[in-house]
Amino acid sequence: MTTNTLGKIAALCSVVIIIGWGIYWGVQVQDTMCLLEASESIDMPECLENM
Amino acid sequence: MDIVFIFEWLDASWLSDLARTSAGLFSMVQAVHILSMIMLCGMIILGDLRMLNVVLTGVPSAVIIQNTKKWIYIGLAGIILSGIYESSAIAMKLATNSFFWAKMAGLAMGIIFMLSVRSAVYSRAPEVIGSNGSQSDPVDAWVVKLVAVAHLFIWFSVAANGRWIGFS
Repeated sequence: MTTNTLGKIAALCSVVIIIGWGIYWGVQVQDTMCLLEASESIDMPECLENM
Repeated sequence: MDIVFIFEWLDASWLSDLARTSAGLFSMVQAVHILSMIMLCGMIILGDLRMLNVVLTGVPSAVIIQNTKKWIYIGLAGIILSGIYESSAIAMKLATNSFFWAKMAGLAMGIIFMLSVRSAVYSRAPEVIGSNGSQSDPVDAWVVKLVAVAHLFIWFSVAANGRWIGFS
């Protein structure tokens, strides 16, 4: 494999991983914040319906 | 593909009985699991931060990558073997745990990425990062740094999801 091809594949894989990581942890943090809100309030928060 | 039968088999195995009945042994294996994870992540962080020119910049990167490789494999063997033992105690619970599957996906992705992309890119690091002497055909420095960040992100997820299993 040429260095140029390797560089392109490596950059593409890395960008996909970093974006995927951001989306995954973004959702996890959002869900956690929602569960925290649910544990502190008497009424069911709207965000629970979307989980 | 339904792989619940693997968890059912593990749940009914002698390993599961041993894990459930021997609290002392279980805690020792748990310590091995955590120490292996520390060693694995420590070696990975060292190599990746070197490639980001953050630590040990006076040492050639090839020396660091070469010397940490063996300890990465030992750490991997440690977390996999102790992980199988630990998971046998709560096999049926883990089969439906989303954080467990996220951890396994991260682990598989981390191993594949490390052995393929990371390994190939780091061996062709440019002199500005590697201090390995002049490379005839080096990869761009920003690609090496991007790979280092992506690799750190993967292993962060493995560790964080592993911890999250305990909360779920």
